[in-house]
Amino acid sequence: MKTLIYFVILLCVSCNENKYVKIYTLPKINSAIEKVPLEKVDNKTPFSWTVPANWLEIDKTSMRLASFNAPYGNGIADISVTNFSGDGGGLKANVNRWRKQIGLESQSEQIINKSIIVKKSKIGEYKFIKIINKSNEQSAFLCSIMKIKNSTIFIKMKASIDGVNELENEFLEFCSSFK
Amino acid sequence: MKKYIKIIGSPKIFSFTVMWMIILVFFGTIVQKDIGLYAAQMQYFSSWFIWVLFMPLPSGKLTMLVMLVNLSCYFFRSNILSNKKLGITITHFGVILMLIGGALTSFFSHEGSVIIDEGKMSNYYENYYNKEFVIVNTTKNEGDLFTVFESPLLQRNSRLSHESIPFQIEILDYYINCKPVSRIYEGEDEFKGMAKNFFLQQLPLEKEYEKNISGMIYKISNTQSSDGIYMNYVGQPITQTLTTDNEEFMLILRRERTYLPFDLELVDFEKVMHPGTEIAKSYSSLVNLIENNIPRKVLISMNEPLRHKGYTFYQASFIENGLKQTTVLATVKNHGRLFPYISTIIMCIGILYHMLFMVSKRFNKKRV
Repeated sequence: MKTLIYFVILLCVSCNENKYVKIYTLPKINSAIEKVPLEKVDNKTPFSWTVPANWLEIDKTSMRLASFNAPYGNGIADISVTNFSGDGGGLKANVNRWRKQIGLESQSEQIINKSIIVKKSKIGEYKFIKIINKSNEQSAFLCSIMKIKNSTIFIKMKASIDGVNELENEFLEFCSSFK
Repeated sequence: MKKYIKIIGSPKIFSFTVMWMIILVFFGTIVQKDIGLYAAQMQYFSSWFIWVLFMPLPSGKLTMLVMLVNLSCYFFRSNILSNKKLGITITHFGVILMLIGGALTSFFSHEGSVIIDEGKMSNYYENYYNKEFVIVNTTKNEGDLFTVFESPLLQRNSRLSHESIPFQIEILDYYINCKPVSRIYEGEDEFKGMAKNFFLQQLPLEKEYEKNISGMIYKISNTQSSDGIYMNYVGQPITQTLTTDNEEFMLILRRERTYLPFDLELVDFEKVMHPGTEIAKSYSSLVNLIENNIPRKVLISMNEPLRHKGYTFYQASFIENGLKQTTVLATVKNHGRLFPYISTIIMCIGILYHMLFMVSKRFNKKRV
């Protein structure tokens, strides 16, 4: 009888679900990179923007004002914000550079202008273009070119074709939030 | 009692278990092609039963337990230390030791991988297969308080709660493999965080089990104003946060982490390519092993693992992203690591002793 009681106690103890719960304390992690600031104001730039709730700000490189990762169905898109003085090389040169990066031929400014959609943000109008190469499903771009005073802001998203289609609205929302 | 020991310890049972193991190994190897290595190992060797249609058949674990009990009965026989039986006794002991080593490995060994970027440090490794749901209270002054719910609790309809967290969690769905899909329309007010704009779509299991992206949809209740339905998946780029009772929490679904009693810092990663190709010939990681704030440099290369405090780190792979190099070290802690070596030596001694004894006995008979 005693053995049976010990066995039942052992069974109860072994069934305790708390054995699958661990508690520990670790030194504080730098949670700044894990939280998304809703509004970003860069002291060095005269403009700010609002980041969609599910984008993650990541370390920016020296060329970029900001970098983000945005999740979509099959991966993560890379978004960059850059600012160059003047026209930053111009529309034609930049669009053709991006086209070349995904294996597309260069186009004349006239043809490029036909693919451009003009949108509005709080700091003025911007030109939006979607660059897709159907034979290269893994790389596609959404780009916005925003002319402000003496400089030009370039906002670029790189993802797969599915990714840019999925994130197009969020990207436009982000571009339109510049103020 | 002796009668039962004789029945349980019958050599016939041992013969059947050996034959059954051969069948298991045969089919376990064949099905790896279709269901992958991990699933085959779990079904055919690491579980107690394997279901064939509606019939449960003993799997590897049960078969080896029967084998262990059967062989152990040998030691209840008489005269096992006599010259005639000593070789067989030693061999039995060797086999039992090997089975015990197998059991230790099965129940207590850990494996995973340490992934370190060049110039960065790590003090944990991540399990290839198991996931854990972590709730981090980031408002404590003394550090971040981690409440970790391990993989056996991560199931549909499971309720998670603990005194360290002021809210309850009910898992509505748990997927071993899934992907986040954007909602066409924003979800109802009940959905919070990423679940507002995404839902999880279940996917068929990957053959390579470690490639599965697990995800869960769960309901949080008992908070001040953050009650609702949330979602998490492994590798989610945005951490889910929640604020209640003036405390902030991060909710993370991740691969099960085991913390090491020391730090590893990747000083330099080096790879040598086959001439004229993009195929790596060999690669190695120069790491700083930091213990009690004292660093020492160790080189881990493809055939020279680092062994320290029961952990073994093998150079398994690497990741290159532009100029950034990342090393992947396969990590194993196996309490039964030495058992196969010791038991094999014991078995050899036993068989050799028995063989020599029998040969000398026959030789003596002929001479007579």
